[in-house]
Amino acid sequence: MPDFQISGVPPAWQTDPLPLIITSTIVIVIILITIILVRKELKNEKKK
Amino acid sequence: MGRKVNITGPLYFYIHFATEVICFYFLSKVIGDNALLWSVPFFYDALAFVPQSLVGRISDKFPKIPFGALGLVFMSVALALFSLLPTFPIFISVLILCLGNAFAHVAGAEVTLRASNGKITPAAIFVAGGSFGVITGKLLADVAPFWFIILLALSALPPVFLAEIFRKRTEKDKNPCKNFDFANKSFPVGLLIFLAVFVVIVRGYMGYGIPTSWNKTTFQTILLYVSMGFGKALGGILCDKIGARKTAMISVLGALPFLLFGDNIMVVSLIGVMFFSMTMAITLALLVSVLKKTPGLAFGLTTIGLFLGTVPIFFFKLGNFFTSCIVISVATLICHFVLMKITKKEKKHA
Repeated sequence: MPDFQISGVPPAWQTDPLPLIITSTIVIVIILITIILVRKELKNEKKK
Repeated sequence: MGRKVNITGPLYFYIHFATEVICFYFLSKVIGDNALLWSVPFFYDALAFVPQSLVGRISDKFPKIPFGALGLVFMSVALALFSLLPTFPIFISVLILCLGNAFAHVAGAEVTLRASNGKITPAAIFVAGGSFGVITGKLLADVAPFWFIILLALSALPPVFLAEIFRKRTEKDKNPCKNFDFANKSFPVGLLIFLAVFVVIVRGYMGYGIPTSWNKTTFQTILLYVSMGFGKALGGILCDKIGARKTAMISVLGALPFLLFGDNIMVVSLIGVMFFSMTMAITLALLVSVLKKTPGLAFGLTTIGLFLGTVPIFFFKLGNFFTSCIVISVATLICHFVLMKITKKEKKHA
């Protein structure tokens, strides 16, 4: 089990959610860009 | 073209090992501070794993960018800043570490996949190095000085430049990954990518979700990571020898009883972990088979999957033994069904 699940320390996002919000936003944006890139790549493959 | 020796797998095994040593040395040092116990691992997982798709796409387009060397330098700088400048903002040094990690991983995937002529073994050997590095980094955090770790990371620079020779050989070829052929061609490509990433997500979760009550000593933890590493490499070797479909059947169905009944019996559990780790090679082989021109992007999809698989553990306490058993059984059977659908059927006579 990961250290932070057995430490007894309350997760930081419960007291200060800002880092979680910023990190999650970055993750979502990158995943969306990745989906666009994959779709573009598949379209290019189809054209061939 | 005659067969040429390809040692990119072992070279990047060491580079990946060094990468994870420095990252987990750094993380183990930071996590000693309870206030950062949750934030830093989450931040690290997100920003080391997820951007690899974008870095991978850039590397696909500009393969001459020396991401391997840049990665090692970035990680060394991050550790030096953290160790020498205690007032330096911790999240900036973690961010530099994450970028270095992403660069090194993408370089490994790009070089091993491009130079392997349609074989997944070199990439699987490269990925296996990480498991050994994770546990070594954690252990060294208690005993080694930071400069030793930086030297260890920089010792991976010569292998990076050596591996570059193998990548350069592929430059004349417009599409060096064209021989990857592990996917079921009659299956819709978009759905295949989604399902392959789903299997990676399940594997990511299983890494933490499998019950391992037996794991109480450092030696047992080492064995756990070693079995993961062996499983990843073995998956690649089997994929090339007997095909992705048969490897999928062995790894997923073979793992199930061992994962379920290995909670208290170390050897049984280790066999299960090793079997299930073999799916790594299968999913990477599948993704490269459908994204042949962009191996970096394909690899990045697997790291996004790994991150998504670990997300639940940051927010929910893992369930008890019976809940874990149900989750493992259902997830494993779904993975088996999915892999049987999306992998290529091997011909009976070669």
